[in-house]
Amino acid sequence: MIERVGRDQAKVVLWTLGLWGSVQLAGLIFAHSQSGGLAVEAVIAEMGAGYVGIAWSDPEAPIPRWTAIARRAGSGAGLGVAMAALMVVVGLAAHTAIVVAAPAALVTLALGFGLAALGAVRDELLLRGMVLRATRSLPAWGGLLVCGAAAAAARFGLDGVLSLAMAADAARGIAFGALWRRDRGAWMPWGANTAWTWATGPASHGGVIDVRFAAEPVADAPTLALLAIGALAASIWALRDHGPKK
Amino acid sequence: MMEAIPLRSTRGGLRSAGLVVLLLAGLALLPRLFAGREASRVGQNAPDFRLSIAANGGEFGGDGASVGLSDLRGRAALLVFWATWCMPCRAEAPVINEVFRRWHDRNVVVLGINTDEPGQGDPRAFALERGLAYPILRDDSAEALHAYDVEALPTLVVVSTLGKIVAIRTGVTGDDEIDRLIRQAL
Repeated sequence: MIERVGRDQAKVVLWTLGLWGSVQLAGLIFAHSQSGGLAVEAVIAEMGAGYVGIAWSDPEAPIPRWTAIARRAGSGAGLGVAMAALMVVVGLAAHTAIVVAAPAALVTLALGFGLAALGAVRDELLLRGMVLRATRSLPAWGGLLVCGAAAAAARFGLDGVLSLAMAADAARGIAFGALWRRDRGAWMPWGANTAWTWATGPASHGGVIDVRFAAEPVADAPTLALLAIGALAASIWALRDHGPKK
Repeated sequence: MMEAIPLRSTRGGLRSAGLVVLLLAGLALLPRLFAGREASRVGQNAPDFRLSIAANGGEFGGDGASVGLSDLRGRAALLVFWATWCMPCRAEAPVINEVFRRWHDRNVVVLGINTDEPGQGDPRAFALERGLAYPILRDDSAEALHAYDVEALPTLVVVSTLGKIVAIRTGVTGDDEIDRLIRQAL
């Protein structure tokens, strides 16, 4: 049994790294086009994760109806937008941000949503779905911590420097990992990831309002504290009564 | 799908921990292998040009004056090659406008480089109609277009404070990606 688990974990880890390398290569090939690159990376993540059985919905449960899928993605999106709104409120309260009126920019919002949705497919399948599968021999909380560490590692890979943004990404990684466990699939965390990226990007950068932060928006102390609390709350919510099946 | 399977041996636990470390190391290191290799022109000196200002030229002496890249040394620059007939460029213009609003007082210059043929389009009217606030230059002799080998529109070129090309992007680019590239350029 232990041997089988070990082989399965090794296979998933190597497959994850292979896919991660493939999306980096795709990003390099499509470096000139962010939208094209993200689309290819999302397809690679979807096909690769599907090959090892990472599913958008619990394969042991009946096939969900579209309404149920919409509800799961929608509830995740609600959480993502709520966290982004809280971030602005905390920034305003801590005097690290101001809000400036901005004309509605529908094109900005639509483009930003499409890019956020594609990026969320890649990140949720590779950095949460695959990571949770690779760590299923660990206790549930251990898997969530590795999700946080994986998100921080991916940020380091992107930026090449140690930064507070890594801590912010780690907190988000834990929170999205918790949503995976709660949802038993990808729809809720995908909705949350898409909504967070969209709300903290185009929506609050002039698409709906213009929030101007004194520091980097996701790397100041109040925001980090908020993300840490959010990650803890999501973990408790996910693990309290939707823990792993025995 | 994600059942916890209890570990029953130290050896198994160590192997599992080792695989987790391998996973994290790979996630961190693989992107570094591909960093900075995105295009042959990246890292090279940004070619200089001098173009006349069609709109929003207040910072550079007003519309009709000329501005060159060499005038901007010490500041990061976002060059946006576009045309009035190009639909993706029209879609991207509000994104660039917001980027300009966020960065123009932080040592960053945003320049729209209009590549319409003479008589083909009126970039000044386009900027007024869309409420664009960033400076628009006219490249009707295709001087900058050829200097940067622009083959498709829109194309973004990010230039560092040292005058080096940091990134080139073709097609519509999201504002979070543009923000990330500008931070690299500063």
